[in-house]
Amino acid sequence: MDTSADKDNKILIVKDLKTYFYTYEGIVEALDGVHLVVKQGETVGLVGETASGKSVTAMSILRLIAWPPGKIVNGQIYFKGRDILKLSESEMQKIRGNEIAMIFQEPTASLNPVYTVGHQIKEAIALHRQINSKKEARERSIEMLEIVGMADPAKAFKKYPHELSGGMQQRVMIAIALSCNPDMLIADEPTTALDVTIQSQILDLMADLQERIGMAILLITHDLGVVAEVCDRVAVMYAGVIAEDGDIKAIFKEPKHPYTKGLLSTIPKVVGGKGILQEIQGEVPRLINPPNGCRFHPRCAHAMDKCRKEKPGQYRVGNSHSVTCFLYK
Amino acid sequence: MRIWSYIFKRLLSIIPVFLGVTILTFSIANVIPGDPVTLALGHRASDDQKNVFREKMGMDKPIIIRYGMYLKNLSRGDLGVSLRTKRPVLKDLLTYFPATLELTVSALAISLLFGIPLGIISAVKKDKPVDHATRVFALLGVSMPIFWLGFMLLILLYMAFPIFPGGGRLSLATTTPQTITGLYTIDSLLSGNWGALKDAIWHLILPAATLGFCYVAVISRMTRSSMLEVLRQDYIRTAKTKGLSESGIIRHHALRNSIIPVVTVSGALLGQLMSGSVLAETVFNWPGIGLYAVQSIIFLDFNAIIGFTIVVSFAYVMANFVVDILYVIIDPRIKLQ
Amino acid sequence: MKKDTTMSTLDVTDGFSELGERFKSILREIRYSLHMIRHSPLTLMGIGIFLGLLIMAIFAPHIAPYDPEEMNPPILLRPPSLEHFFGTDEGGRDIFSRVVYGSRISLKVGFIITFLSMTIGTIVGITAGYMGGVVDKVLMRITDVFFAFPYLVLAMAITAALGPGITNTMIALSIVWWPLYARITRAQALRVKELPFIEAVRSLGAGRLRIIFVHILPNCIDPILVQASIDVGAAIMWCAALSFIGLGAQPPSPEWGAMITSGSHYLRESWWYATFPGLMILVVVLGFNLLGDGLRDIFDPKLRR
Repeated sequence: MDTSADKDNKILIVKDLKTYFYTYEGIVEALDGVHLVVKQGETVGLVGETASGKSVTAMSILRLIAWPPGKIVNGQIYFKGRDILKLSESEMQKIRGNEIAMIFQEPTASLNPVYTVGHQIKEAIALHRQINSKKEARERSIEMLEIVGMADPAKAFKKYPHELSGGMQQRVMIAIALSCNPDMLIADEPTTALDVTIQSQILDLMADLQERIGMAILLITHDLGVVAEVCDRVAVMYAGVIAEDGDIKAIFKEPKHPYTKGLLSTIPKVVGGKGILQEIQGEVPRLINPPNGCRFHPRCAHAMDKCRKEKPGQYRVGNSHSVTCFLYK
Repeated sequence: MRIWSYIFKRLLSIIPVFLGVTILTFSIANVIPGDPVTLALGHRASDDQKNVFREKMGMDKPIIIRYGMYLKNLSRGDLGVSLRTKRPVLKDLLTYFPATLELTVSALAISLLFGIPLGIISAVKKDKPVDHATRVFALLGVSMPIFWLGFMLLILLYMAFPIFPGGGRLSLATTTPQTITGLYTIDSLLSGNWGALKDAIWHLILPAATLGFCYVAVISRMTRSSMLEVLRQDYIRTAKTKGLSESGIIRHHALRNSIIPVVTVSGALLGQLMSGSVLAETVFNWPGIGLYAVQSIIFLDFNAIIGFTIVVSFAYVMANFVVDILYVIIDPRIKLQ
Repeated sequence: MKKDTTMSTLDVTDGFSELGERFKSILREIRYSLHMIRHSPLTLMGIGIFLGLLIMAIFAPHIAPYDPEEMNPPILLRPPSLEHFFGTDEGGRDIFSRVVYGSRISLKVGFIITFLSMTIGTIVGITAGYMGGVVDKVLMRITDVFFAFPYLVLAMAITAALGPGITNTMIALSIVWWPLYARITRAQALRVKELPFIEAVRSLGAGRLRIIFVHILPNCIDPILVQASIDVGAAIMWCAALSFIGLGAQPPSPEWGAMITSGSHYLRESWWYATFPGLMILVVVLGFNLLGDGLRDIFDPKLRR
């Protein structure tokens, strides 16, 4: 268990999280022991290719994995010192939207088309805060719309989602998410579906709000460029495992895990002047029958005998920089 | 303002359909085997009567002219005279229409009242025993002949256990309530005639239940699939992350969205109910336009049959029109151009 | 799967292997369908009911213990017993035998109506969907007119005008039913004609008729088949309804609907008379509904594994 000093600092501690999906074709071991730490007020990026388990991790944290077919089979998730995996559903509902909020990739689909935007913000507020009058809820919602940078918030309040652009819809999602001043925001590919120009606006907005409210952000993305711009620390995910995590300079300057190295070498600009685009051999494994031992070993140039048989643990390689690879044991 | 122009445009588009309806019924009445004069006057008409009729109706004139006359008569509300009752068909239909309305509306209410919750439960507890049971029940409802169900209910709840009356709208002893709407239940309610109210309701239950049961199935299936579709949507996921409870999600988010297709189906349902009421009225001796039509058929009263067909289809088209408008009002996504 | 990169110099072999692949994929489809059917008890029940009906109709003379028309006044209106499973009617005829023979009528009616309306409707629908433009508009207006009538009401009118009888009932119901297939097929045709491969086939010089029947039609079949299997049952039921009103089969025909009408006159004393024919209708329609539902699940892409 962590000491109380740690508890103040680390708002989210995920330990050995395993989430499996029981399907017609077999058991999909989507998460195979995920370790993750998020400190108060910081922005942690969670990167990886599609189907690496990033979204599953996020949904597992909020305990929104639908059974059937999915189930969290192992691990602990400490949020503000409590293991939320042990909470009842109604206790969990008090945390969702209130202490941990989440926004998604497709804002159009994520907003209910038959209610106005303002109504949907009001709902979030009314759910978790003692609101004495409709007027109060309405005012607070308009306030939120202003905070997220909507032009003419009073008018926007009455609009339906389909009347707004993608960027504005995402702002609304952020307004909903932040309406109860959560301690942590999980953002699952929030800018992927938006235009490049809007992307940076939204990211700026999120950074701005983070400073104001002092919340932590877990930013899920496959875009290393975004990570480099906004994150304090980053965790690299591969096939349901955190391959490497550390603060941003460490990861980008001195990547240790073979996968991270390969990933970074695919970006011509980040790595200082090497200029040779390298390809990581092989394919992401199907998680129904994952490879034994280290999940990356079939594609790893440095694979040892040990890697085929045993699963590596997390090994420290620097100040808050750890790698899941036998090379660094 | 935009909604009024939409309504107007829809009304305009109905006109060709109405026209088509008249053409179709006119064809049925005239351009098919059988001497139309005999059809209109009956087999017992004398040759003189037939000739007079032939002249009056312009049977020798080209078919377009006859169609024109037919339309003209329609626009004046002249549907001919019933061979059987010797009264104008339109008058007959108007007399018997309230009874059918009462029956159909009650049946619709029953099917919605039972069908929608069943569909919701079925969707929320998908693949669990409740779901399977509901689906089998729904399937039975759809597969059951309405008239057979009516008879079975009569055997059980009227003959074996005399709980309900065996037919008609009121017992012989009860006096008809003061006519305000023609619907005995409403009328007795409005005039404070509690005895008649109870009697009217008691007579209404079996026929309405028979008619309604078969469509409980249709509604619950529709609600179920619509609800399942809605629950798959991303905004349900958002609602969960807000911290809404399961019942809260269903009540505030899923319900509104899943009801919309059910509203649209209600229009078509009304048509089925009208078909079904023909059968239910026959079984329960319910004096509505359905029973009128069946009696007319036995009598070979073609004016009445054709008149009935036209009136019912007009009503059906208007009902669908109303449902269309409702649909546009309810769903904010529909852009009114 | 290891990629075989060695070049084959024999096109013929390629051609054959192409055919072989086609067969294999069709076999896979059939295997998958059979698998789905086996795992769905309800669908199996539907198939069972359908087969039962077929057997009953084909082997009626062997299954029915008595002559369905043979009057036997001394034993009129007897309740169900070992000699007469469903009891006897007002002429002393064995109701069970009449029900069995009635299956012939129902099966004939169901299939003919469905086949006729399906054929007409599909042709109209595909033409409207593929041609588009004025042809589409006109054809759709016509189907709209038919849709303006509740089914039974229009069928009643047509049958009444043609004269009561089962043949006329079949004609009337086919006329009322085809627009449904037209609508389904048209919707499908609209979807399929936008698919890229149609463009490809057209650029290879395929004529309109060929495109419609060889390429578009097969892709529209799924929902048509589902609807048709349900409709056989529905047609049987509506025909019974028309007979019940007096427009369809006439006595002494052992049609189930007509039997219910006769039975309704003896409801209090002889409950069995109206009950069993109706039960048969229920079971048969249920069977076809289950079959249709099962087919729908097989064809549903969202449920595919």
